[in-house]
Amino acid sequence: MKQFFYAIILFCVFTTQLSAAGKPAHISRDTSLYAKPFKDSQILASLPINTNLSIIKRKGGWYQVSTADNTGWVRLVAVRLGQVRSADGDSSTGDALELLSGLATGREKSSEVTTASAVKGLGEEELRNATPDTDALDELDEFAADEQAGQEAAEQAGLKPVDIALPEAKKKDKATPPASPNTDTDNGEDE
Amino acid sequence: MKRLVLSLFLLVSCQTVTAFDLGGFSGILSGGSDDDPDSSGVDIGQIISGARDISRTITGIDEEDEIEIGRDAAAVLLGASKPVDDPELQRYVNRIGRWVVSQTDRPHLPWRFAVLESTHVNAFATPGGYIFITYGLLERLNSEAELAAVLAHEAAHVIRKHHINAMSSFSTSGLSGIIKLASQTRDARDNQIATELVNQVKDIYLRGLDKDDEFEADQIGTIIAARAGYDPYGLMAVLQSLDSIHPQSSSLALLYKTHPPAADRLIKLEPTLDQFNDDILAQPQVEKRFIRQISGK
Repeated sequence: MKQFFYAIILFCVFTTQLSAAGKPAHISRDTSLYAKPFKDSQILASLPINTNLSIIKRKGGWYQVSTADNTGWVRLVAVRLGQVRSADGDSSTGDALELLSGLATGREKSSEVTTASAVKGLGEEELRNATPDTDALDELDEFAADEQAGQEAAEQAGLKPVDIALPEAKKKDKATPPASPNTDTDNGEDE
Repeated sequence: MKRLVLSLFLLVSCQTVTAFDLGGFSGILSGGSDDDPDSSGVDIGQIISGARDISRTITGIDEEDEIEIGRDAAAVLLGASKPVDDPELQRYVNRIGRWVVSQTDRPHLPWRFAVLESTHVNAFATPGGYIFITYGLLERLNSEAELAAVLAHEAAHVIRKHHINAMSSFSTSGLSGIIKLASQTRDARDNQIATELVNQVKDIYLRGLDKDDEFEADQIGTIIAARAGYDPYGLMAVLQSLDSIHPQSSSLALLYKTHPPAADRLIKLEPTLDQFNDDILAQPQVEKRFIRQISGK
């Protein structure tokens, strides 16, 4: 019995390490697997929606991923973190999909959905009941940075400012309806 | 040619005077008459307050008002969650934040940044330049580019005055009512924030901003972070992380009540990223320094 118990623990440790090797993710719209992180590079395979894969690293707008058969690059926008499985075998219906693993980062706690009481501070209730804290506000001055400190932090990390125009302020009444989540599957790659 | 310039100048001046006549200028003339109708002497205080009135007439609000309202709003948020007791971490976030906002068109605001103890996943901005990120969100980030992107998204709300606009449209007394409440707070002997203002602040932060303001802040925030030299995909990566958290997670409750779904935001943000050239796309994520600073906690 004891040995069985140890075997389970060993299995858990092993699988945890496996999942740490690459971030689990899936394809959120039909796309292609590329040889290199460029749209004009060789296409290795087509990746239909809900293909599970593992993220190796990110380079700009691309993820290097490994699928069951291949390793290559996919557009970041076609990937969602976490893996999916179809509850009834029909992978075309989004509702039937269940997030197998919602691991956004290695630090995430898988039990968080059930531990509501562990989440504290600045939720709806706390904000509703808040009494203004002007002392805490004044204490912020102690840690403030001036422009020079910001400049130095940038230089240390080799960050160089780039001249990109900021867009003009939008007219308040020029509201565009938000894109429907259902329309993003048919325009995976607009080449 | 000279004549054309002169007539243009005259035309512009006339329009300016007309604009003043609509409210601000008459505000100056009637400014002191409530207290002392017979007074004809010059009062510097009245002139200054008259000048502020003009500024308010043109822009709706002057910067001093904006900062006052922002301080009050920040005090309310701090009443719900305290800053993390880690001076090193707070200084780091302030330095990065300060660098990021130096790339906006309002670098001179009294910007303050803080990491709050809250384990909810969220970030907040108040008018005039107070920006808060919860520890719950910070610990999910993977690089300084992602931190910079979150701070830049919040800074975009500040520079575009999204909260001021929302407060003035939801408040029954309008913008002038809020300005009045904030000035009451400033003049109060015990520094106590007017209860009505506290309630209006809570209302806005519980209700959230207009969806389009959030999409705009994503777009501008991404551009600000890119201007600051960071990998422009920082905000995309953060939104992807949010999108992967179980939507029923209580840590996301307020964020999702007040923001469009992360999946919608990702789709809206795509065209902004398509405009960047290869040099910008190759900008650094700055992971090492970020991990070092965060793990110091």
